Amino acid sequence: MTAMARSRSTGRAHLKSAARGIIVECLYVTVLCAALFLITTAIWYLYSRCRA
Amino acid sequence: MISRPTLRDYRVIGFFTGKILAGVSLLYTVPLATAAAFGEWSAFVDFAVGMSATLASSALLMLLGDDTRAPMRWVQSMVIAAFSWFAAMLLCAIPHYLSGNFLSYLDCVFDVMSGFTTTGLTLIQDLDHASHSLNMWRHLLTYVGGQGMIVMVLVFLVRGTAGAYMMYVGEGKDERLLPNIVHTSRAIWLISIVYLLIGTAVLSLLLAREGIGFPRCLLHGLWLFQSAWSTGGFSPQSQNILYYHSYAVELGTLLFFVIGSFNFILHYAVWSGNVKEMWKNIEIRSFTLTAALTTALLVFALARLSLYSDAFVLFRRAVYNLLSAHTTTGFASAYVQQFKADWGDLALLAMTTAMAFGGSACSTAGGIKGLRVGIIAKAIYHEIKRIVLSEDAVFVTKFHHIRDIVLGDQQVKMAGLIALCYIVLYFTGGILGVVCGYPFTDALFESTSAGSNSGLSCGITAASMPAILKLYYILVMWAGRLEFISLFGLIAFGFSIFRGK
Repeated sequence: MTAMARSRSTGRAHLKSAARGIIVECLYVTVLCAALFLITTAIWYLYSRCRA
Repeated sequence: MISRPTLRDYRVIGFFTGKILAGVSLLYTVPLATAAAFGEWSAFVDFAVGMSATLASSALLMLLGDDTRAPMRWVQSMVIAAFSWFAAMLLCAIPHYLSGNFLSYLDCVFDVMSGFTTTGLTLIQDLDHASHSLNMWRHLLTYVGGQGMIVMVLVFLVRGTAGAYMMYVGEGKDERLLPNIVHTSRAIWLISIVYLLIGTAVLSLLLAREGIGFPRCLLHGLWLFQSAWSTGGFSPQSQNILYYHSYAVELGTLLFFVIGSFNFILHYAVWSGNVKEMWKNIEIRSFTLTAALTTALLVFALARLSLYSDAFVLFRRAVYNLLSAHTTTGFASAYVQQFKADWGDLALLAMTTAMAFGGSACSTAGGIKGLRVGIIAKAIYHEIKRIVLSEDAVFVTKFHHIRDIVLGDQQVKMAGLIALCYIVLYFTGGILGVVCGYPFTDALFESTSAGSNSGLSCGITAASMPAILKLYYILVMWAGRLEFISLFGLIAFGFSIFRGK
C-alpha cells in the first residue's frame, strides 16, 4: 500500500468515525426530547385527572 | 512578597492584546464582503471605520509591546484574556454605533459583549430592518465568542508561545482535547466548522420549506445556526424564534443548541470512536437529570395555570424554552411579556434554575456547568456514604469524564468555589434589580440570564433600563463567560499594582 493510499484510507476512517459521532450526538438529543415528552405527558395527564 | 508589575509586564500584556485584536480585525472582512454583496454601502463604510480603528489599536499595542520569548506568567495571561475581551468589546461596537440602530454607545458595547459572551440579550432598535451586514456582524461575534476569541487567535496568529495554554485557560476553557494547545484550538474550530456546514444546510432547507425565499433562507439559516451552536440566542428578527411559527425550525435549532452545549472534549471523544462516552460522561448524566427535573417543575407550573390546551402544545412551549434556558442559548418561542405576565413565578423560577445550572464545561455554554454540578452531587453522595459506613471504612468515589477519575478535595473545592461565585453574581444582580425598582423574581431571572450567558429576558433588558444595570450586566456577562478565572487574575494584578514592592 502506498503512502497516499494509506493516508486516504486513514482519512476515510476518520470521516466515518466523525459521521458516527454526529449521529450518536443527534440520537442523544432525540432520546432526551422523547424522555422530556413523556415527563410532560405524564404530568399533564396526572394533573388533568386530579383536577377532574 | 508581592512584586509590583514591571514595565515589561505591561509591554507583554500590550503585545498579546494587540495580537488578539489583530485577529479580531480580520473578522471585519466577513461583514465588509456581505455589505458589498448586498450593496449596503453605508454599512460598508461603518465596517471599514471599525476595521481601521481595530487595526490601528492593534498595531499601536504591538509596537509598544514586548514580543519576548521568555516564559509568560499566569497573572500576565489572565490580564491579557480579560483585557483583550474588553478592548474587543469597545472596538467592535463602532459599526454598531455608526449603524444608527442603537441609542447610545453603552447600548452598543452591551450588544457586543452580549454577542461575544454568547448571551443574546440585546438593546438594538428596529432589528427587523437592520442591514444584512450588521446582522452578519452580530452573529459572527457570537459564533467566534462561543469558540473563544483567544482560541481563534491561537489557531492563526500565535504559534509556539509559552503562554498559549495560560491564555487559553484565562478564556474559561481549562481542558485540552490534545496535548498541544494549538492543536486543541484547531480541533475546536474543526468541529465547529463541520457543524456550521451541516447546520446551515439543514436550517436553510427548513426555512426554504417554510416559504422563505433565497438568499434570505440561507442568511437566516446561517445566523440561526451560529446562534444555536454558540448557545447565543441572537436572531435576525425581533420576535426571535417565534417569528418563524415553525415546529421544524424549532426542532432544528433545538438539536443544534443542545449539541452546541456539549463539551468539546466530549465531541472529540465521540468523533474519535469513543461512542460510549456519550452515555457515561458525568456532564451528560448531570445535564439529563437537571433538564428532567426542571422540565417537570416547569410543566407542573404551567399545567396548574391551564395555559395550554393539550400536552403536545405544552411540550412545544415548555421544553423548547426550558432547554434553551438550560443550554444557556436564549432562543425563545414565547413573547417576552408572556414569561412575566402568563407563566407565573414558579415557572420563572424553574427557568432561572435551569439557566443557573447551564451547559457543559469547555463548551460554548455558560452557567455553573454540568461538570461542577456533577462533582458537587458526587461530593454530597460521598459525604452521605461516609456517615452511613463504619468510621474505619476506606472508600473512594469516582466519576467518569473521558476516563474514570477519583474525586479529590481540590476538585470539590474548585467546583464549589466557582458555583458559589456564580450564585453570588446571580443574587447580587437580583438585589440590584430590586434597587432599580423591578420585582425580585424578574430581577433574579434577568440577572441569572446575564450571568449564565443565557439571554432570555422577561422584559427588564431594554434601552430604557438604568445605566447602572446595563453596566452590571456587561460585567456579569464577561465574568460569567470567562468563569471568574481572569477576573481573579485581574484582581491579583490590581492588588500587586497598589501593594507590590
